[in-house]
Amino acid sequence: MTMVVERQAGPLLEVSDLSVVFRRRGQREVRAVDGISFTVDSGEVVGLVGESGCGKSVTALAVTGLLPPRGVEVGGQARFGGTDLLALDPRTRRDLRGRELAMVFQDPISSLNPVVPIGVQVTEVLTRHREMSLRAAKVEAAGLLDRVGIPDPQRRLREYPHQLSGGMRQRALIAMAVACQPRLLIADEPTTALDVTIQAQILELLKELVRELNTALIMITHDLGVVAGMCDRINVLYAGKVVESAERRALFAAPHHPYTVGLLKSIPRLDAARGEPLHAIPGSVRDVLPWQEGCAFTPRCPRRVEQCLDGPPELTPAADGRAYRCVNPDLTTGPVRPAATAAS
Amino acid sequence: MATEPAQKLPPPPGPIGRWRGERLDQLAELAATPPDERGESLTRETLRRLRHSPMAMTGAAVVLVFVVVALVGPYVIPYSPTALVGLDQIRPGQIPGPSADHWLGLDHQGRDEFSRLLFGARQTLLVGIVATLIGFTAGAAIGGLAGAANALGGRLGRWVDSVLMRFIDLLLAMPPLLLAFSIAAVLGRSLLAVMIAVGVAATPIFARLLRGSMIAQAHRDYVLAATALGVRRNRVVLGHVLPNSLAPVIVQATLTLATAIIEAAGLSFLGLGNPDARIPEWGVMLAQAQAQLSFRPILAVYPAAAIIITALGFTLLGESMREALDPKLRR
Amino acid sequence: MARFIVRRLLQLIPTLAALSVLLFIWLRALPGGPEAALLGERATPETQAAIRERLGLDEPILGQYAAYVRQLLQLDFGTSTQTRQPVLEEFLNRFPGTIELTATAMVIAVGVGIPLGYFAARRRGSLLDNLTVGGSMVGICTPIFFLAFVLKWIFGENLGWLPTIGRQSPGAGATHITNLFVLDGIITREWDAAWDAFLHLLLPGIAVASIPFAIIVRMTRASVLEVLGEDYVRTAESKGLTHRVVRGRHVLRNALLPVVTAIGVLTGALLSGAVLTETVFAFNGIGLFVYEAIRNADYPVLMGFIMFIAFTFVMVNLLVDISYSIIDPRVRVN
Repeated sequence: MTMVVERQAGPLLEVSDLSVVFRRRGQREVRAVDGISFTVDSGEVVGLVGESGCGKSVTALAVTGLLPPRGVEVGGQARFGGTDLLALDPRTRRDLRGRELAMVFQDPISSLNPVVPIGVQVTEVLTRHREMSLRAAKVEAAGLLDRVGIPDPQRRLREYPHQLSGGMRQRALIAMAVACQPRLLIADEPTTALDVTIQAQILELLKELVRELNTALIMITHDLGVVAGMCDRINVLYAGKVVESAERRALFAAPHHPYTVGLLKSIPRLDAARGEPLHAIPGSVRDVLPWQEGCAFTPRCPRRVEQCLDGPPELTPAADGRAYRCVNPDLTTGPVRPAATAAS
Repeated sequence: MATEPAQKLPPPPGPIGRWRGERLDQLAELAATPPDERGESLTRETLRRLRHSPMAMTGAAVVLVFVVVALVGPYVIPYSPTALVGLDQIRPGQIPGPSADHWLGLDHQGRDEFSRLLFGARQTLLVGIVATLIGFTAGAAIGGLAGAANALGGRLGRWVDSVLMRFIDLLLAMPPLLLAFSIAAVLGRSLLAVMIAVGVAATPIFARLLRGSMIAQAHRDYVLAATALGVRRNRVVLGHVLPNSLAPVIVQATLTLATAIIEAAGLSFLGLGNPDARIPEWGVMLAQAQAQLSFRPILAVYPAAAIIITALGFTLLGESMREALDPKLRR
Repeated sequence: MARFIVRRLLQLIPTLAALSVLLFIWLRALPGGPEAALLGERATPETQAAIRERLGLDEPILGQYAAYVRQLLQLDFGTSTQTRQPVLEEFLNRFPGTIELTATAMVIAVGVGIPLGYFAARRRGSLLDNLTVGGSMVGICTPIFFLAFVLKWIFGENLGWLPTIGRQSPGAGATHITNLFVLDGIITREWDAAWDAFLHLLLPGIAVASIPFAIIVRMTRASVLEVLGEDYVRTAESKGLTHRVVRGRHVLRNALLPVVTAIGVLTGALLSGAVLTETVFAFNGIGLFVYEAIRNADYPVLMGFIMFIAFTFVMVNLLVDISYSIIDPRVRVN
């Protein structure tokens, strides 16, 4: 019943041409993910970055098979250690989830079952996937809570989610996710709902765990500041497509796609000059152009040219294994300084 | 995402063809409009959703037909509902069925069933509306008082609130027919007693609804914001709280009309309604038909079907309005 | 927990006190005054004098109320004008029948309603879902006495599958201990009698169940739909838990919270239904007795019944609150 995914050379997860279309009766179909490709190596930390609505969460849900069963059409491939997750039957995928690939979600209070003690919510993963007895699972669960930094784990196991603080709830969710030492962890905006002071702690914890367990991590966020501190490789998403993909250092040093430039510029900086206005990308993700007509970012793009409407731009490879999807990229080198470029 | 919609796009650097330029301008303009202004108003969207719901349209059609029949029915019926026009055709154990003269046949006393059915719609509508109005008025008074007391807070406010709600709970426990009897016992058996009883039975729902939404609205951020901005209290209540509490009340009134019709039928069945049994009323007709059940069951089916279809019409309409107003089901 | 129960029981006192005041006023508002109402048509000058004496009708109004309350505290609700028996005794004799009937109805409503509501929500938009939603709406809109008649007519008189009259076949010769006939049959091992009593419960049980059933189905469906969209269900799925665990521990346990509350509110509907249904099936319970009392203006019985309903309702809601606080930890703490 349990399927062992072969350890082999090559990337741990290879998503190619993934597409997700929502079709609801009486509603316009929505192409949430439109041909996304990226790879994750064993133990690597990969960021998926973009504004809300760009398809990053849907990508994660599609890979783990958590999209609603009806009204959704998923295309493409997601090879995990050689097997295509999307082609697996739901049963096998269910066996993999929580054991080989696990998820941490955004809002810890709503992601925990309010009427079931924390302990049960941790042990249920252990008894399901590691064939542990309930007694052994309880001991292990206490160890896990201790590992993720929850003090007095014995007491916390008996408590309910509402009795824990926000940070502790997220720690408990992380404990559940890493309970079976998965080879891939997907964290969907894990710090967005938390206090700023807690955010750094949670990120630090994730970093430690990933290193310790040699788990690969997909970090989904809208906050480039978060990925800057921990990702090896970053994929910038816009309107369901990867618009730029680069190694972290390269991306921050010289973003090529105007959207990435915009995102970087909108990070508030302490060293900006006084009175300098905060930069924002005009419009919102709702103002996309259908990709068939041209680059979806065109309506909001400061560098748009006529060629933008010639049809969907190709992903152009560049040096150091990076790639961008733009006909008029910003190829100047040097990090983006909000102060320098915003005042045009 | 906190974007600044008003921010203008920089002019595109390269030359752009005319058609494409227009397309781009159009998109850029869209990008600069705040998302809220692109949407429709709440009422507009709700109406649009209702128009596209087959459930709502069926319900509305049934309600419309029912109201029209109730209004004009008594003037177009072929026979007087109380006239024993076919008395000579009635034999023990035998009642004539539909014919050209009598579309739905005769009842056990030789009266025209079709005329009685149409005439009965008016009684039913009257009971439904008056009972709902009574329930709404009493419920709004009690619920509004409790909600206001709760919002005022303090020991007295909480006490008033809890006493009123305890009372409401008690009303909720009482079967309407018992209330009807208690009222009929004092006022005498009449249609009015039925209306009051059904209205009182509907009171708790309105009271709870109004109190609940008043308390919920009072703590909403927009009320806080309006108050903080110095908008006068009356304006906050009239301009913000009330309209927002109103939609669920309208929905509930529609649903209450359905229950009122069914409950009134039950009371007539038990003999608590209008003492003049000649006046056709669907509940009374149903009760009278029980005696002929063994040889002419269809006489029970006519009024029962009328009750069920009418109640169903109001229920469908109310439920689909509730659904259309539900923000969780939007988008 | 004990303190919680005691506190709730104490809250019962003002409720019943308020009710006693209302009933006291009501009795005096009746045409002909309380003595006529309490004695019925068979009043004679002697009995009228006796009742004036007993109710303290010649005393000032506060004294009258005191006398009234004193009687109530002694569980003396007066004498039925129909049967000339004490109201309390009549109730105790007939109560078991109504308990059996409403319990059967509740078992049907909950036992069928919750699974049906769950599966309808799971297959939202399917044929099963549409039939369930449509059916429950028709159920709510059908007058219960009409349903009772249809059931009686089809399954009893036409098909002859089930008995339609009374609580037990005449001449069954069953031994009665608790007056809960099914239970009696089981205790005395008179299996035939128990089965017979059970069959008598089915048709009226279904009729009484119809409205609670429709409400429970709709509530369960709506609540399951809401819970299915909750983040914690997605978390449970992301942990790869089996269907059984996800359904039971994560979906149903949360989805049933509002349904449990609704069951308390349904008491009134159940008793209403019992009055109408017992009448149709000549089922000897409180409902039939109250129906007769309404027809014959038997005020003592009706007053007793109103008190009895208020008491039952408060007790049922106490039970609901207790079970709610057991299921929902968030309530427990506060």
